[in-house]
Amino acid sequence: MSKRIEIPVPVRGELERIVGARHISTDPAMLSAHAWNTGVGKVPGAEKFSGIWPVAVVLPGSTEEVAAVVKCCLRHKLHYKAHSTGYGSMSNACSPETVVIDLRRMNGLEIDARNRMAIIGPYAIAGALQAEALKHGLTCHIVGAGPAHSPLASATSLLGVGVTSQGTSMNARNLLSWEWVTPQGDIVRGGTAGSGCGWFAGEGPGPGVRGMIRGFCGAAGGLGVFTRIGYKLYPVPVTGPLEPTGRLPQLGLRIPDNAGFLHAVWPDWDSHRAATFELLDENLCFAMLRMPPDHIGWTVTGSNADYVDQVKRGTLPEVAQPSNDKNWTLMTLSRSPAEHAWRMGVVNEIVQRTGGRILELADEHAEVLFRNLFTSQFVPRVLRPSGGITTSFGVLDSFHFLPRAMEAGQECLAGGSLPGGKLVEGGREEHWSWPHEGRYLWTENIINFDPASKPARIAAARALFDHFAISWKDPVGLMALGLGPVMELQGESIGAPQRYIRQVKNRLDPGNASRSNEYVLPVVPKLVATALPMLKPVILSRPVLELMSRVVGTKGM
Amino acid sequence: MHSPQTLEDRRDFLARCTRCSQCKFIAMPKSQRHASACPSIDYGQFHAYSGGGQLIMAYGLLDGNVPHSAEMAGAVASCTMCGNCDVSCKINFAETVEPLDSLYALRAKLVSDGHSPAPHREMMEALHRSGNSRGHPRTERAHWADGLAFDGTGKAETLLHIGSGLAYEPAGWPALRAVVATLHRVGIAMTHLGTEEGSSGGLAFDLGYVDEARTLAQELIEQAQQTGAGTLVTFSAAALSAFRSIHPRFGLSFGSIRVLHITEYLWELVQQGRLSLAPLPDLQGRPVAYHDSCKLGRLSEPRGTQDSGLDNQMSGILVSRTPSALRFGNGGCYEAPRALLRAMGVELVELERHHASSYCCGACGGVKETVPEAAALAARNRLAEVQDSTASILVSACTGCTSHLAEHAGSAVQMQDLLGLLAQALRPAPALAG
Amino acid sequence: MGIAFIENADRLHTPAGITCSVDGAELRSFASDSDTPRGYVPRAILKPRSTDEIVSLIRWANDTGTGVVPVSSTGRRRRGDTVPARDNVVIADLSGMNRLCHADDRDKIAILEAGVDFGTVDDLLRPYGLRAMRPLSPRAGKSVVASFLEREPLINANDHWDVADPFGGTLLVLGNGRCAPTGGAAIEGTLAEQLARGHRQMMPIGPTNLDLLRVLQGAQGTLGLMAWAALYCERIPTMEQGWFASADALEPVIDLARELLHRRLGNALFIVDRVQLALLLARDAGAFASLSVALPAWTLFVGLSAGRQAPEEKMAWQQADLQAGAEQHGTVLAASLAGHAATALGQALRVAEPTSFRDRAMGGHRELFFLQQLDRAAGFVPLVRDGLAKAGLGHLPLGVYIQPMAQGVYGHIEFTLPYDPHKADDTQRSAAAWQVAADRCADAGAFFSRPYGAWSDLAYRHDDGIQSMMALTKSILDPAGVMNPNRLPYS
Repeated sequence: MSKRIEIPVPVRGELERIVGARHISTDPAMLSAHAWNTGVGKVPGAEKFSGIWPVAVVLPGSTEEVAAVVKCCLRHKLHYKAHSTGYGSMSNACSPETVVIDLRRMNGLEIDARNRMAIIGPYAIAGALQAEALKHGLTCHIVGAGPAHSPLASATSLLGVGVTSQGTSMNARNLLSWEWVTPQGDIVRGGTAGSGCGWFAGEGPGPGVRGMIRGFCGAAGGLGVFTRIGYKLYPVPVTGPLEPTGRLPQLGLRIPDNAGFLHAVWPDWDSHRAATFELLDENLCFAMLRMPPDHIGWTVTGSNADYVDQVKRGTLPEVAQPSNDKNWTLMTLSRSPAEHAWRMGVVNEIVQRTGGRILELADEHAEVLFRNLFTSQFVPRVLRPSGGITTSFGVLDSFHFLPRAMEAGQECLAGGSLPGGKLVEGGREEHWSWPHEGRYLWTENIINFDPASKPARIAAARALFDHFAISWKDPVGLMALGLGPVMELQGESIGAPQRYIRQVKNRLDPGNASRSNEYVLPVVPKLVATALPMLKPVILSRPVLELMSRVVGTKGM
Repeated sequence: MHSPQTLEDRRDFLARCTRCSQCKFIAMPKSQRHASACPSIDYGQFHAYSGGGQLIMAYGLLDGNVPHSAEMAGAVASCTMCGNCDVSCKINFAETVEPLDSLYALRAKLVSDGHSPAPHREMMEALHRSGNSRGHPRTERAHWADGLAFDGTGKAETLLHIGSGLAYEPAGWPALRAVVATLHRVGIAMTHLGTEEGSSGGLAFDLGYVDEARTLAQELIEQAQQTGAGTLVTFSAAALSAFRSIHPRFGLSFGSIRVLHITEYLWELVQQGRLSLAPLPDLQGRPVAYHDSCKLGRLSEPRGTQDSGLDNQMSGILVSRTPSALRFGNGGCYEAPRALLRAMGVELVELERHHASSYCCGACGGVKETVPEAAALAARNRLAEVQDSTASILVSACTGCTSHLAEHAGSAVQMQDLLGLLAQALRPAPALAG
Repeated sequence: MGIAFIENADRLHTPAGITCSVDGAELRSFASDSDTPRGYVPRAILKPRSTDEIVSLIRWANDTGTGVVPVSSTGRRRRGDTVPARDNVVIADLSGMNRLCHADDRDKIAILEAGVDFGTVDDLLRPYGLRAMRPLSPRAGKSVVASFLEREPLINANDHWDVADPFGGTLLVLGNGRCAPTGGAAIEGTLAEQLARGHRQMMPIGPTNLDLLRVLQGAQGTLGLMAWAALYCERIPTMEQGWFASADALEPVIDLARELLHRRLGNALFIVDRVQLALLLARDAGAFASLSVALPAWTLFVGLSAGRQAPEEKMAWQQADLQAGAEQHGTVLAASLAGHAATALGQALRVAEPTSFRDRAMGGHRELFFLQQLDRAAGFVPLVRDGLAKAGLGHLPLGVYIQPMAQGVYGHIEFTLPYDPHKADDTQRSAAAWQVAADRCADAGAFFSRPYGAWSDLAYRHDDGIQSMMALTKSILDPAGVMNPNRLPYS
């Protein structure tokens, strides 16, 4: 049974006066959604509920109400944790004294089409934003969490990478001006909004102080509450909703005029990489995505049953065949037939010249894959087979590293996803790769496992930990998961960012009231801080990794 | 004997909710304003009001982390059981979560634990007492047929099932009678169950009264079978939903009796050339939106009596044991009403949320009776969708939806029951008429 | 690292090994710049040659309480950010750190030290098939890194995704004397080791929850210095041509620019009025005077390029689409204006000269720039023009330059007032009128993201808590307050 604290009646009364009686609850039934241990992106333990339940959940309706809630929490020595849609366990309280701030009522969404941006609140979801943007010939970046996630949360507080980053950048760079309730409950507007000039730019006057509170990753609720942002949008040569095709759950989109949608494969990673550098030339593609064939199989089938049946019967389409793993799904968007002809001609020529070939795609599959890429519905769907998923790597460096990343992915999975292994059966590696802005590589190695099985959880944890060991032994680009405790191990060798982050946290939030488990550790005794980097070889030794995997597989993380 | 799954049976399905929030939104929103899939969370706002939130609460109830409470009952009672969350969830999760089955089980759990809301209990008492949830006298159930060519029950090829909504709604009788009269004119031999027409059990099941639902279903099936009819035609969307998607959970069916909704039946007759539809002058040049009722739409998708269990294959892939019976919302009664409208020369426009992703009007699941403000909000949301379309007329083929939406429509949207339009437009085909 | 000190004639103990100048004239030259008449004379000019020397310098400054004003450019300075704002300050002159550390055609990225300037950068990059992204005709002595650190807008508007562009990873030395690699540079090993492993420092953000590059951009050297930076470059095109799209009003030109940005068409895009274009084209006052009259009121310069992939075909559709867009928006597309070919201007923009083009015609200029959305740009023009007229300066030419940024989300709006510094009346009156113009623009929504000099007061007149964040930032990154002290309002 979890540890629970009752909120004092007068405190509840204060909160009620701020948000209204309808918008506060202390009932376990209402709180349960904020203690649900989904394990998405992490490895859960055996228990579905986290050991920590909040004392209350409130639904503020404005920035001022958020600020008042924060100040109320501080007055009464309570903690708070804000979330938007609360994907996975992001909505969870991190201490038993926590008031969860559910931002659902703050869903403002305003499109500034001429300036290709939107002004959004925390609960404007990506699917709705994309729909509104498309009315004006624009689209938005949608991260892996898919259309039901909050772009504001992604842009301010989490990672922000998504499968269309080639054409839609990433959310740390799509964040324009911002409004923030500090951990002390003050309202700060950064960039143009702070000067009353609009929501279009986030830096200045003078230094870009946003960089102190949102780096490659945000503070995940550990540093106050973001309540409104300007958000960059991306023009597409389509105005209005795209034409749907197919039937649930295999919804597709008709591929628009002057759009190209191809799936190309190469015989080896070297030729794949050679082609990649050329495909990145001159922004030929709006989106480029490499998916492992089994995950493509999960997408072109309507159910797990359909997928497994087709695997057994050998009837999966070519795109989902394991041998076609050195692949790119390529989406081009052009404004005129001549531009389209140039893009398609060049893409075809590059594929041929580099030894690749373009696979035949049935319309039905092409439309489903197109929709999943354009809307980023792909990623939530990757949870379909087992419901358990974690990830590894990140890379964020030259495509030079692509072959090595694939090797490292195999090392990390260590055959666990091959028949007889403890992970969900798939390929030797399970990398999702894509470029950012025609520049660098993002690739993450997805670890799918059965969260209901302890051996599977242990295997997943082991793969995750091995990824750190592999990355530190011979870095495969920037480590995307260098967060929290990981940075305590690594930070000293890369400029000690954790020291600054800790200072930011402690100065802005000395009582750690804005509490998150996914931000910097607020307190690390000096001795520990000194010893940890030295202990890295021990921590990364096989017996310790095994032990940690067992602990995580049992207790969760 | 087949039994619907209990909450305990659903434990693993509950556990698999990833809290992705997809259940709150339709799969392909066309605007922010009408992106929601869930009237319940639109009203309650707390996550617990969503499909996924209810799954989490339900899990908490099972494992002892969440005790029964008024707030839980309130959240559960605000859910219209419309099934839109189920359709949205399956975009991502197919057979592995299936929220709706768990929502039924949660309601049943509340009932079995003695926490059914008072209005639900009252509805059930009325159902016991008089065969309908609003407590209308059974003796008045067949007044609609007074004076019609057939005068009650008897043996005939086609059995008409009226449903309590229409049977006790005098405003709907002229249309009902007109349609029945037209059917008589083309020589359809019909009968009906008169004052003894029973409940389909659908409402009882929605409210979590599983045993009562089974009994009611069995009784109705027996009644129907005793008529010897080959075809049962229901005017009730809710009943159709019960026949097709609830009765199979009990292993019950009408056997050899073919079951159709009135719209399906009429369209079949039109296609057979026995009926025709005249254009309706009032609707010419005026775009008309069609409201897919949840009950007639996604909730009428036929369900088998299958084992809904999953096997673990390929080291963790959860696979339906009966994949052919998986329901994604596509098999509801969507086309017949539309075809009839088109045949009346109506310029049909689709609302942003339509077919399997249609937004519930708030009338069903006992919400109207238990949390009327939630039901009203749902209706207003749905009507706002009409106002954002090019249509100013909204047609529904569900009596419950029509009357509920009409209560909230004001002057901006003209609410029309499809049956009323059909009553005006239906004609015996010329050859037959001649 | 142990730091030894030498004592110079001014009894200033500076770190050993770092070249130090205490030449009076040189020191005094830092006490003012083109538009900042009075500052403090620094005590010395220290010229580190390596990151280690920068670290030594900053640690020394912390130990001795000496202020440090970083300078990476050479030649005529302006805007006041390199003029000491208090005494007991040394100049950290990084202009001698001017190596190209690495360049990579495949990834279109190069690592430059802080002192590499626009006069030399393309020569350094050319062997690798690359060239630098650049602001509008920077002067030769302007440091490439410093320019982008100051958020100087790029003419490569379609490649300006975010304010951090064209930066990749960088190495900062913070005011606390510690190195802080950012983005893709925040990875184990020395730069040489990183390069040998194949890293290309391509990521502009991070590491982890921090984005110090973004923090130091716009900080005017008040938080730290940048020793080197990976910068995204352009691959030298196979084919290239320039076009002018002109109109009598600004709006059609902006509409066309927006459309081209939405299509990502054009490797260079900027909007100028006739005066600004005349400043760019003219080599002398006479030519400037005649061009100022002859040129169209508003012009969008469009650079089209094609690379390795079917270049002729690409140029053909780009030209066709540009032509169609120009017609659609009511602009006149021309390959040349008043005898000046757009393609030649495109080439000229890549040749940095010692003097700013803005000074070429009349010897001096005032500048006023800020950010606003492109669709609000036109509203500022009459504000500034009317202000000048009311001050009796209607006879002075006023140049307008609008640079779309962040791929068109907003724009840098710049007014240039060329004047003859030898005409005392114009000089004095224009200074006052200029401040009024700045005030009026601020009232109308100008965002002074780069608050130089007197604009600083305007920029910070709204304090929505940002100054407390600045103070926090300063106290963490430069706790002793040694970096460019008193330059920005941190307290």
